[in-house]
Amino acid sequence: MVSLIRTVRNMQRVGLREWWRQMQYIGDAKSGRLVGQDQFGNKYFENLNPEEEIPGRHRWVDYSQHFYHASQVPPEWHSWLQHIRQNPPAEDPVMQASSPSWKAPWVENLTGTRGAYRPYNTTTPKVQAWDPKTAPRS
Amino acid sequence: MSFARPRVFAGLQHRLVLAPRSSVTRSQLLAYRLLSTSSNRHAQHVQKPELTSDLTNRTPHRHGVSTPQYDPQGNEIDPYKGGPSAIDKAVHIFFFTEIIRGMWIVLENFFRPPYTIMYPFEKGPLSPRFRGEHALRRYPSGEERCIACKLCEAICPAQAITIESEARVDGSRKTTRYDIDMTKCIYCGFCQEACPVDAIVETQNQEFSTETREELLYNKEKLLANGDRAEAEIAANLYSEHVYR
Amino acid sequence: MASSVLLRSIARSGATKSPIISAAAAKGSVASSASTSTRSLKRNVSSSAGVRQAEPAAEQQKHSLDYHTVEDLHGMTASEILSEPTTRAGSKMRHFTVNFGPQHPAAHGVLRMILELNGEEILRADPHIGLLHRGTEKLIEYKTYTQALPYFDRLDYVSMMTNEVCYSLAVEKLLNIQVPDRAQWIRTLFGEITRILNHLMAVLTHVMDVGGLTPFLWGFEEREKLMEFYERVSGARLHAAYVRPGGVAYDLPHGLLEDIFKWATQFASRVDEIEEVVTGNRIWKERTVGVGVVTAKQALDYSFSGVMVRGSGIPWDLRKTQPYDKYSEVEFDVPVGKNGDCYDRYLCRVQEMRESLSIINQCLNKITPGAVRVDDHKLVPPPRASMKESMEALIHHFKIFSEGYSVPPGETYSAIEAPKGEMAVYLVSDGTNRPYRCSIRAPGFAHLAGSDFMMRHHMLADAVAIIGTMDLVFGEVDR
Repeated sequence: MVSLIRTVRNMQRVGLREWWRQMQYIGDAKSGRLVGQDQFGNKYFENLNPEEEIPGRHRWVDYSQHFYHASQVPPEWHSWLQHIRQNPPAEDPVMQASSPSWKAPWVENLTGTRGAYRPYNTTTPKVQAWDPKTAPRS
Repeated sequence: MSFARPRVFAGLQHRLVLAPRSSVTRSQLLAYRLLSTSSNRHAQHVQKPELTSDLTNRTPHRHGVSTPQYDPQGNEIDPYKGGPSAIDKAVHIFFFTEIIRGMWIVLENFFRPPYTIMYPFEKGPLSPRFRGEHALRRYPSGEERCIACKLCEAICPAQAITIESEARVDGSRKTTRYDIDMTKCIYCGFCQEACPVDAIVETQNQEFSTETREELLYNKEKLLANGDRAEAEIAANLYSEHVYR
Repeated sequence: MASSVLLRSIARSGATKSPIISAAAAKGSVASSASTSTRSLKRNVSSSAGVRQAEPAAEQQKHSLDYHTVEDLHGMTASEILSEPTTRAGSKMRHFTVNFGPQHPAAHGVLRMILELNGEEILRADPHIGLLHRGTEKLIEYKTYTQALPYFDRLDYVSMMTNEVCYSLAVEKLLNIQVPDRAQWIRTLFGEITRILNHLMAVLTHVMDVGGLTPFLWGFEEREKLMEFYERVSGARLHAAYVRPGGVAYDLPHGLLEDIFKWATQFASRVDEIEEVVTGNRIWKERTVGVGVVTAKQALDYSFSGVMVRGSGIPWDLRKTQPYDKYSEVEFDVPVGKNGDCYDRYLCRVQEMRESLSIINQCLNKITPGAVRVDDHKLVPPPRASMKESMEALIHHFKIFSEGYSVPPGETYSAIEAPKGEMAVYLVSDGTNRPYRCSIRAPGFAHLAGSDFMMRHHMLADAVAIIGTMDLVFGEVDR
């Protein structure tokens, strides 16, 4: 019953079209403040009103890809989304200061695709295969 | 040699004959019928009497057989004295009071907001202490931190870490092999506690499940790549935890 | 009892009129000549209890088919067991044996139970364990004292921190060290959080096993919150590795106590809700009252502990009798049952949750600031800041994480009141950095040993209720 009122309210706020999209992905009507967008186009929302969203559900992500996956969230936003950091990365001085110049671009979990990680040896082989050299008989 | 059929017939006949004779033993007889409808004479145990059926004695309340109790003066004790009256009990039984009270609670919960977290979109809270996927870090200059002291290899209770090292041409000692068998790892966090240079850390990433086992045999390059991608998050977490460590 | 036996024997003898006469006639000759042709007649005679007791001579010539339990077949040779003088139809007339298999959802893990049934009545229950055996005790002999700690999380995996406390107390007793006050308060606080975690799981899976799914889901909402406290303090929701010998791993994070207080203010009403639905419910009472009765003597004979012994009316709680950590400074009551059945144990568990809640509140009020680890850096690693600056601290750091610390020779049996009962570690040290022997006394193991006498003469469906009330976790039973 609560969710019905909430659904109607959120539907009014986001509009019918967006509500339909949300139902296809999140499966629930949600409305809130757009906090930011990461480099992949995922949108991050927040609704801190405890009357509208119970605590724990007040931050969410709207994935840009149709085949969404939890690991598509880059680590900076991941720590915001999982409530580790209070502020989104753009407003977080600690997060800003600790981004090094050699930071690599985030790659989602590629398991099950051709880009999946495969283990390999990082050392030089310890056993050298015998390579027989025959000296030509004179 | 099979007596099964005539015996069953005889048994039924016998019960039918016996039942009207004594009304006192009727309930017990019914109970006997309930517990063994098939005549399992071969299975009758002989040596240990407790292995025979004892249902009638065990659950007297289900058959309404109760012996009256007497106090030292010889007066019969009323076990229901002080308890709820029979009308009370009848009301509770026939109007389902306790069931309805319980159902009311269920109804209350129906009107509460749902607390289900829609996982890939909303996520539960984590702390900076969370121990997830491993990563090897670098210094801000880009040089890798690990000095191959092998403390993590020594402390690892599951012996999941394998390290080999070599001196480089500039004389610094670095690892050539840093393998973590993530299928063995128990995520106890001892490696990141042991590391004197904060090289091996457990990141907050928990979404690294794989489809094959071999993808979980991480080598040095994979761990360094994890660290390179998540460095901002790792450093921020270490910063917020540094007062406790 | 006597009348029913008599009745049964009458019924039996009446049922088989023709064989009984011939058997009675043959009785004298049968005792001397044990030919196979008369054997079936003998068995007909013996199956009637009254006749059997009157004639002990026939005892000596029993056949394997006269017995029907595995226990009875001990001491017989294979040829005796396998020879089958009667027909196939006759051999089928035996008690039915079923596997209450390792995959049964109500078996709480990997319990395999062989039940011998007479119709639906359990005549014998034979629990088979070992499907989750990981050799923890032996593995610990090859680990340093630090490395052995994570193994204890994985023993009883629904009450993690109490296991760690148990091990830490044993090591501390051998090391003869005293843990700082704040660490003891944290241990007490999280010990009680763990107790609530465990009892929520135990009670509500028990309810679910006998048919009530809804309270289970409510309980798991609370468990989720408690797991988050676990995660905030240790970094793992389940296998915490937080309580260490010499204190706890880290101090409590800022703001955690306030959140625990907020949680504690609302938890009591959640327990009320669960009780409102479950306690008076006639279905629940029908399934638990009078089921799995353990008398006080039986409970002591089978070395039960925890709720299993308190439900039978024995007020025994190690937190009261030999207080550890800060249990001597908090006030709580020990709920004790009266009848020793599943219902009483359920009531005890629910009441223990309330007592735990009161202990948590007292801990929140009484907790003191200060160190959370002993300051002997030969036993606990030094803080990272000093490790990076001081050479001595760095040496200590390296020594602890590579070699570990040596524990003076000695042996100790240190027991705590884990949520399931008396959890204890018998630790023998030979003066090296590894335990010489680490024997774990798991409460569930003793409780499971009593499953046979608890289940006898109950219906098959009651087996589920009894397994639920024993609060089994196979991590600790199989170790």
